Amino acid sequence: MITVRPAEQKDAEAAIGVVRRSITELCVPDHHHDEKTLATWLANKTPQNFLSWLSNVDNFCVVAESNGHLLGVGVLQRRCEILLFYLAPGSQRQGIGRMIHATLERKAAQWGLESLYLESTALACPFYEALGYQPTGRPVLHFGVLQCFPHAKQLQPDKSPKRMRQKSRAA
Amino acid sequence: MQSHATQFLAAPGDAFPVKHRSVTVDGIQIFYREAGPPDAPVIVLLHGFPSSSRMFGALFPLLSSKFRLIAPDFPGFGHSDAPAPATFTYTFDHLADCIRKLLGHLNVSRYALYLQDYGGPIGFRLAVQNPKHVTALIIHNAVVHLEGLSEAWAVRKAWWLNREAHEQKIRESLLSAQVAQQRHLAGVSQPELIDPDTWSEEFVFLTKPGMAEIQLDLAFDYQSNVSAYPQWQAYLRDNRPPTLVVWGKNDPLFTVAGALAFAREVPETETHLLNASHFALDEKPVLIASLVYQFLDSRLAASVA
Repeated sequence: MITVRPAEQKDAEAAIGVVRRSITELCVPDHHHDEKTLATWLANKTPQNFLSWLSNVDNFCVVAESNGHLLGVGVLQRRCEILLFYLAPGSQRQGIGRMIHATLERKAAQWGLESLYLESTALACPFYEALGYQPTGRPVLHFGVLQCFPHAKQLQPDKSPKRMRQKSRAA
Repeated sequence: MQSHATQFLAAPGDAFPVKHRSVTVDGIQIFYREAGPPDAPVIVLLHGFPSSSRMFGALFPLLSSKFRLIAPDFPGFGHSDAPAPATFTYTFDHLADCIRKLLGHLNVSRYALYLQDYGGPIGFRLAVQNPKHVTALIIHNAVVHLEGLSEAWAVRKAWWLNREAHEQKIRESLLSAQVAQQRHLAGVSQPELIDPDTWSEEFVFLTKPGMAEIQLDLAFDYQSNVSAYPQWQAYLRDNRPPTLVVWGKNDPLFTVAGALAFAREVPETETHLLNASHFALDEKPVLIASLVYQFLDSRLAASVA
């Protein structure tokens, strides 16, 4: 059985392993095996950094797990952004990504967020668009050859609850 | 994408040097920087607090071969006159009125607006009054939604409700060297990218005799902007101007929620959140120039070509 749960400190090694394998093995259409791009992309994907993302109260980090194995990682940032989302090689197209995003969006709703933003790889664009994200503009070149495709999703097009949340946040 | 950026760097910005000019509007000298071919599509760049048209310095050579750039200093800022509040009323309405007259004087009636911080409320006043003048909006950390104001605005909001009770605190922050520095450094991931002239000159500017009174009056009037947000949102919905949001997402004052909200009013909005802070041009001038160029080139296709 696959579960999505908040990440813990003990997950750091395994979660970063998922992220690094996902980038190296799956995101080939993005890095094209370009060494510089891959090295820069992976540079901050370390267990220490995972622990720092985890300790930031403005982040919500989750992992997908099955039989003690981590299959996916997602990080939501309170400032309306999906910072990170990766699936382990072999874990795509089984609904695991959708489960992770459903969990992140529930937290986003609890935080009162109305929109979410993310920068997608070329590989993941169809997945995000299936989740209701819309491209918000032309791709931006990051380090090396990596293009990032900005996407956003309105979580609550209805405006009526906004005032209540605005008040509760001010209170 | 990169080719555009390198194209900018190779572009003969020297062919269109920046002219530093001023005109008299209602007895006030308004300073402005201008560059670019006289017949090119116009971008009017409106600066933030407590900056001036100087904040667009890096953008000028990157865009001036394709666009006519006009960047005024508001009355009370930069090199424009700063008469005492006894003789000049410092409100956003009044500043917008002066900028409108300046553009009229320059015979500019079709322009894209590039708006940062205070430039937002001034630019939206121009747009609401003359929607047909505006060819496009470029929004760079400028707010027209309540959720765009971060919790850092709590003190200001309290001040707006009771000026006497909170004014001392606001005045101290206005005259503080540390606050002047933090306006440019807070949220910046690589502080060494920031030219210390940005904040040290703003500190000198703010501590000039009489300047605090001017800036307090104007900052107190900022609440008139908050009241106008629904009107400005309606303008966006009704006119749907081509809109580009380039937003430093680490801005402690203006939230990412405020950046993403523009797409609610104008669904075709192009939005880019940059790993930068309030004065994102300090950190990402080439990226921003590249996004602005590509956006206007595609949305104003007929007029640019």
